[in-house]
Amino acid sequence: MKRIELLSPAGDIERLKVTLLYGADAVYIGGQNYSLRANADNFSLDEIKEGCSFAHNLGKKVYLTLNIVFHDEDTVGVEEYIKDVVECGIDAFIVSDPFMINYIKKNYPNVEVHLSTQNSTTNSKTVDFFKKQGANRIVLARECNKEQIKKIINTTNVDIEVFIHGAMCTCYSGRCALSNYVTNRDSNRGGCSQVCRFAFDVQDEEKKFTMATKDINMASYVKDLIEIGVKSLKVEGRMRSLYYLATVIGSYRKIIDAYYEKNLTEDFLKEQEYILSRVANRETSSHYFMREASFIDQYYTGRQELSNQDFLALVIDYNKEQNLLTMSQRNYFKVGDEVEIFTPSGKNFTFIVDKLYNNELQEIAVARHPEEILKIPFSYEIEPYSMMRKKERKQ
Amino acid sequence: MKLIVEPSTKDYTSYINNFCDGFLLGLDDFCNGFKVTHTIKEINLLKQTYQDKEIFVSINIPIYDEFIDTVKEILKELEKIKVTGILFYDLAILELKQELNLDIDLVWNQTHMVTNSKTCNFYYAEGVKYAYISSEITLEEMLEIKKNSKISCMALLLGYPICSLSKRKLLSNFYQFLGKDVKKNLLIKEPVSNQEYNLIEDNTGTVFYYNKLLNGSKPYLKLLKNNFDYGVLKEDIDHDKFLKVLQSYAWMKDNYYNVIEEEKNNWLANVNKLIGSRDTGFFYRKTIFKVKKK
Repeated sequence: MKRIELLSPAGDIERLKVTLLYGADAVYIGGQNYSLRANADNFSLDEIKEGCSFAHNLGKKVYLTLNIVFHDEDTVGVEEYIKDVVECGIDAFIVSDPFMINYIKKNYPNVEVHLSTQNSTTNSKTVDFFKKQGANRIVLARECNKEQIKKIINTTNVDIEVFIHGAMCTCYSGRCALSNYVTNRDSNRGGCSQVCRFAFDVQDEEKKFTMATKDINMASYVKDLIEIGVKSLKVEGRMRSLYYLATVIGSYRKIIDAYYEKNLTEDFLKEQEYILSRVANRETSSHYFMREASFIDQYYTGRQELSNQDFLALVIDYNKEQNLLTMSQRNYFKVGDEVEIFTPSGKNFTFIVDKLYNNELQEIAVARHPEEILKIPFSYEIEPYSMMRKKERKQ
Repeated sequence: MKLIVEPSTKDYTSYINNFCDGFLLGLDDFCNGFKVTHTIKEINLLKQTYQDKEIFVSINIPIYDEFIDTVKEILKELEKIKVTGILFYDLAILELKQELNLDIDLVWNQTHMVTNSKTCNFYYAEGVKYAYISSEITLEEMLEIKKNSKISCMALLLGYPICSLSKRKLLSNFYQFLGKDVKKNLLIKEPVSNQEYNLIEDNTGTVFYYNKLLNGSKPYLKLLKNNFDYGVLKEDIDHDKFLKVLQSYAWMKDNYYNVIEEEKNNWLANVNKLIGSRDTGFFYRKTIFKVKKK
C-alpha cells in the first residue's frame, strides 16, 4: 500500500537534507524568484540541482514554489527560469496563477503541477476546473473541514494535499492584502508582513484588538486524513530552523509509520504530541477540521511567541577510535545536565553529560558560545545531523 | 468607458437620472463587501425596467460543496434574466458555466489576484468576458493589462477598498474575549501607521475595509484616454454628493476629447472637493515584496 506523503518545507540546502533524512517523503522549496517567501534565503539553481540529486538518491522528491500572484513585470524571464529549474531535476511546481499550469503542462508534461493553497480552493467544482487545466494536485484551503475534504476527494479523483502543522493565516490565503495596505508589502508576491499578528487600537476600549491565530497541529488526526484519502500532508514553515524541522518531521514520520504498521496507540500518539509541543512557539489547535474555528483558536493579548532553547547541539561527526561526538553548540548547557540525542533514523539516547571538551580537546564545564565546536564522549556511533536536546520530564 | 454604480440604496432612478451606465449588485447571501444586497427577483425587476442598463451581479463568497447545487440554480436564474455579467471569486462558477453550457458572461473578480495580462488572457480563453482589476496594482499596470489582454477591464474608482476576508467571526470572538455584547462592525487603528480599518462581520466571516476613501478621479482621466472599459463607483459617500460625482464623471466621459487641459484640471479640482478624500490608493504607489538584502 502506497503510504501518504509527508511533505516538508526547506529554507535552504542544509534544511532540505535534514528534513529528508528525518523522514520527509518530499520537500518544497523556494527559488530566488517567484516564491511567496521572498525574504527567506531560498535556493540558487545550483542548490536546486544539488537538492534534487540528494532527494532522488533517497527515492524522494523536490517541489518548487512558483506561487506568487504575478504582475506583468514578474512574468518577464519566468519561462527561462522554469526551463532551468526543470533541467535541475525538479519533480513539481507549486503555482497559484493558472496561466502557469497551462504553460508548464504544455512544455514539460512530465513535471507535475500542484495548485497552491493561495487559491483557497474549497469545493470539488473548483478542483474539477484545475484538473481540466492539467493540475496534478490541489492544496486545499485551510478553511475546509473533514467532511468537505472527504467530499472533494470522493468526487474529483485528483491528489489532495492539506496542511497539518505550523502557522495559520487569519484570513483566506490569497484573499488578504492587509500587508499591502498597512506596510506596502505585497502579500501575494511574497512580502507578507503578517499584519494579522499586529495589535490594533480600538476607540473607547482599553484592550487591543488582535486576530492572531494559534498554530495548526493535526497529529491526532493523521489517521483520519489517511483514511479519507488525502495524498499528501504538508508542514508549514520554510523559514523554520533545522531543529524544528527535524523534530516535527521526525514525529509525523513516526505517527504515519505507526498507523500503517498498526502500532498507533493512544500512548504513542501522546508521546509524539508531547515532543511536538516542545518545539512549538505558539499554542496549537486543529482549527476548522472538526468544527468551525472559534474564540479558542485565537490570541487576544498581542503576539504570543515563546523562544525555544531546548536545542543544545547539532552532531557533526563521530570518531569511532576515540568514541567522541563532535557537535556544534546551539544553546547553553553544562556538565551534569540530562540530555537526549535523537537521530535521523529515529533512535533516541538519554544520558547525563559528564565530560565536555572544546575543539582543542581541553576539558570545559559549560557550553555557552553559539556554534562553538564541542566534543563529548559517547559510546554509540550515530550519524551526522543527529541533534541533542534538553531532557525534560513530562508533567 | 462605462460608469457602473455599486449603490447603497435601492433608489435606482436617482443613479440613472445622473447618467450611470449600469449597476454592480451583490446577491443576497452569496456576496460579501456590499452595503445593500439584492434578491434574484429584485435583479430581474431592475433588468426588465431598465433594459438598456448593464447589470452586473456579484457572487463573490468562497463556495463550499454544500452550496454548489444552490449556486447552480442561481446561475440558471441569472441566465434567464440575461444579466450583463456575474462577478465570481470562486472558480466553481466558471466550472459550472462550462459544465452546464450556460449562456452567461462572467467577470473574473478574485479581489487581490487580478494583476496580470497573461492570466486575464487565460480566463478570456476559458470564456470569461470581463476582469475586475485589483485595486492593489498601479495605474500603469492596469493600462498594461488593458493593452496586452483581450478581456474587458473594470477598475474601482471610488469607494472604500476591501483589503481582506476571513472565515473567522473575528468580532464575535473579540467581544466574547471582552465579555461584552457583540457588535457586527468595528473600527480599528494600526498604531504605527495610524491607519484605520473597518471590520464588518456577517454569516460568511469578517470583511476588512481600508478606511480611506479611494478617489480615482485623476487616474480616471488617464483611463478615459486609454479607452479603459469600465469604472466602478461605490456609493460610500453621502447620496446627494455621490450623485453629483456620478454626474460629473459622466460629463467628463462625454466631453473628454472636447475640453482643454485647463478644463480637465478644473474638473479634477471640483470633483476632488466633492469627494473630500485625496487618497489615490495604489494607482501611483508600487508595492514592494523583497526587503531583505541578498
